[in-house]
Amino acid sequence: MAKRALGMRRGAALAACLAWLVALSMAAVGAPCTKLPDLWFPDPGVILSGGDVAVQVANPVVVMQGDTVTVTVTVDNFTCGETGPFDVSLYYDTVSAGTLIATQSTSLLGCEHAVLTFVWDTTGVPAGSHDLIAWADSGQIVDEYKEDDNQYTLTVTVLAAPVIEVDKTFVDADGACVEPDDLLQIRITIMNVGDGDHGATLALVDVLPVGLDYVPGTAAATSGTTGYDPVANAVTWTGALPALSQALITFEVEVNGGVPIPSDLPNQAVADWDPDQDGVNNATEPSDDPTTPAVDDPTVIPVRLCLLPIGPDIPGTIDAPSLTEWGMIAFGVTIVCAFTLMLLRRRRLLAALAERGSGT
Amino acid sequence: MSGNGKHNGAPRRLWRIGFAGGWRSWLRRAILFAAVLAVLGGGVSWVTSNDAAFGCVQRAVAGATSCVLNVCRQGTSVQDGNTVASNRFAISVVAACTGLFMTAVFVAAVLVYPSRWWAKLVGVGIGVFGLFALNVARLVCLFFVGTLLPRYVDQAHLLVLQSVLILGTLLLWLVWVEKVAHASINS
Repeated sequence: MAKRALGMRRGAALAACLAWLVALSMAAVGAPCTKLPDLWFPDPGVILSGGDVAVQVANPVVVMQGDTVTVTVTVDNFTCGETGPFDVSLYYDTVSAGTLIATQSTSLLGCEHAVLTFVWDTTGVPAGSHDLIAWADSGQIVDEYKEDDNQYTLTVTVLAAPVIEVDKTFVDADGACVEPDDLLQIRITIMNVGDGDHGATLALVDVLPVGLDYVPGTAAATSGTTGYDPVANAVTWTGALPALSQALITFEVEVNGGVPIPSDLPNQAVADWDPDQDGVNNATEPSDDPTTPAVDDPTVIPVRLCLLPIGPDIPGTIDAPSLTEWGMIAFGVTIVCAFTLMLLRRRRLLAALAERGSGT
Repeated sequence: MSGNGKHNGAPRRLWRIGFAGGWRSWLRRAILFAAVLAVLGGGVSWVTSNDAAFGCVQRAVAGATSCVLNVCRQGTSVQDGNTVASNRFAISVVAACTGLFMTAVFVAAVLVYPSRWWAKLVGVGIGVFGLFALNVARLVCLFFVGTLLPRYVDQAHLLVLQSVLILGTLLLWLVWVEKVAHASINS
């Protein structure tokens, strides 16, 4: 089943060939024309079932969750009249605006057919059997001599598949900000949020950046197997994850004493996983920093100078107001006094000046 | 000013000259001083409540302090825009650290004091830049005390440097009065 799913994805995901024969004709024409053999559809000589409708399904329609399904819809004009523009829509399970996958417009000359391709992304689609409904000219804009052959339903089976997500955070052992020589605990949560189980091929690698040194023997996990690659300076994990389960991987690192202040150490673990469960990991999932709104962003470890709290015995950060309240009062009184004295002095100077003026 | 020449003895004449203009003149000047101080106080209040404007003041004070300290090889940096920090000590420049209140009082005293407009202009310049420099010098001294004599930070901050700052500001204003505002009278 897995190989089949892979084959479908490689060959344009899943080609469900819907041969759609729509008898479209101008009302004035009224009757089907006789198509020439080279205009026949599907192949020349193939007898259309029911006289005017033929359906071709090239492959079994089975996909894994998250795969894309490529649906080919063929619309044929049996008559000699032009159709004018009309829509062809593809719906999922029911015909409604909420389940519309896509709509395309086309028009057909007499005896002409058109092939339209739709792509359906099954990400988030529940496992199980689903109907894909192709509908030509749903608004009945084209006058046709037969309106009831404009819709076709194709059944697609979506198989449950695993979906892997990874979160990564860190905790400073001393509870303060991160400084050189600090000990940090790295916490990586690998989750299977999909409906399908993931086999034991699931692997995770966390290459530590320059400035972080792994503390030997500290790697542990709630399930699976952890390891450390000293050459790559990477912590590794392998294991299986059933549907809707997770594993917590923890290890400790020490911030290198030579890390300059301030600096940021971005770090991201990467999970290799197998979406279609064919035994080969062919998808990757980078870890996300859950403390930021960005998706799948690295976890940044900010190395800063830690300022000590204010305290009588601890020479740390202090607020240094220019003046305390009493200082402000003293300053205000001093300025007012000085202002008064200088005004008096000014008047004395002016008076002396006037005296000298009157004396001369 | 009438009758100034009829009295001998400097202290008595000083008193008479001082109030020769009448209480109304003094009251008018006092009200003017209060009004100017209120306006400037409102301006200071607006600056401290406006994040962008106050951030500029904080960055300027912290940046200048850090710059002077780095000239003295203290290896400081400005963190979060308002904290001057080395690996041994740090000073956080909060609203009260910027000296805005002192500058407002100084400028009010300059504007209300009777002098020519250009003298007021010089006084405002001395007030803004002189007090900025004085405050930075205070923070630099405080940083050195915090680094070298951390046990005496409180005493240095609350007693010594505060007093020095008040006296320095007063001295700056008196120098302005004598050398600039009274320049025409003295000459």
